[in-house]
Parts: sequence; structure tokens; C-alpha cells
Amino acid sequence: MTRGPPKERLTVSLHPQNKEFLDQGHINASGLIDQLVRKYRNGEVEL
Amino acid sequence: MGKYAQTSINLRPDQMDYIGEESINTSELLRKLLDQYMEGGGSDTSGLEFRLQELRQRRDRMSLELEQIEDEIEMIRENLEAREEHEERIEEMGGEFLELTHERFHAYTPKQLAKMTKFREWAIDNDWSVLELKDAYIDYRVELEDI
Repeated sequence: MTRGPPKERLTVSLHPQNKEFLDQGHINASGLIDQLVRKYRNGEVEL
Repeated sequence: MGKYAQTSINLRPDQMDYIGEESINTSELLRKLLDQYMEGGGSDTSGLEFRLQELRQRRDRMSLELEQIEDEIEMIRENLEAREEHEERIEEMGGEFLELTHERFHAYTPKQLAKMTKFREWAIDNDWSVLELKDAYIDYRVELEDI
């Protein structure tokens, strides 16, 4: 299995409810954010 | 910034580059994306499930608080009713006159009262028979839980 390039760590300011959501044990926070940013870049998600 | 919570995330280098190139305010973008996701914008339903759980917990807390308020209202209402009833009973028994009688004779036992000249005079001067006043006054003191 090939691993992708190492991810880079970034500090961001979120709404407390966003943070609480991400802090739940069953949520893969980095994976979800990665997916959201990818969809945004691809135009699949509009704000 | 006080209303926000700082947190660290991991992004792929190409995404970091994209954010850098586009001069995007990362925090703002992520807040919007996450808000949208939590409101059900994504195909994954975990955001909605989280929101549902959050709303249910809030509803349960509010419901408990409502019950506590209802209990307190009921308790105060009963307390007020009991006080009103107590006042009414005393009023029915002779009100001001028995209050004055109590001021003068509260130190004496029921047995002592009927034999006391002062009590007999007090009754007659106020158009009561001694026996009636003694009975009414004893009932009054029972109401006051004085005897």
C-alpha cells in the first residue's frame, strides 16, 4: 500500500459546535475536512 | 475571536498549496463547509445524526427544566393557598377581636381563663358570654397552633 505525501498541520479557528462535532471519537476529522476541501475545489460543494 | 475555538487539522500539501494560492481564509472556509455539512449538505449522514442528538439532548434538558418549574409553581401555589385558608379561618373565628384577646391572654391556659376575673370582664365588656368567648378563643389558639 502506498501512502500519500505527509499531511501538513494547520491551526484554524472554528465555531465551538464545529469543534465539538470534530472532536467526537467516531469522526475522522482530518479525513472529513480533506474531503470537504476537495469537494469545494472540484466545485461539488457551493457555499 | 473569543467565540471561536482553536483546533489543529491535517491537510494534504496540494490542498495547503491551493489555500495559499487562492489566499483563502482557511478558518472561514472550513467553518462554512462544516456548517453546511452538519446541516446535511454531505452524503454522509453523521452530521445530521449529530445535530439530531444535539437537539434531543437540548429538548430533554429543557423538558427537565420545565418539569422543575412546574413543580416549583405548584409548590408556591399550594403554599399561598394554605396561607390564605389559614387567614380565612382566623377571620371567620372573630378576626381582630380574637387577636386582641390573644394579645391579652396568650399566657394563660384554657383552664385558667374561665376563672379569671379579667377574662370574664373582657368578655362581658365586649358583648360575649364568658363560656362562648372561652370556646372561641381556645379554637382560635388551636388554629394558631398555640395549644
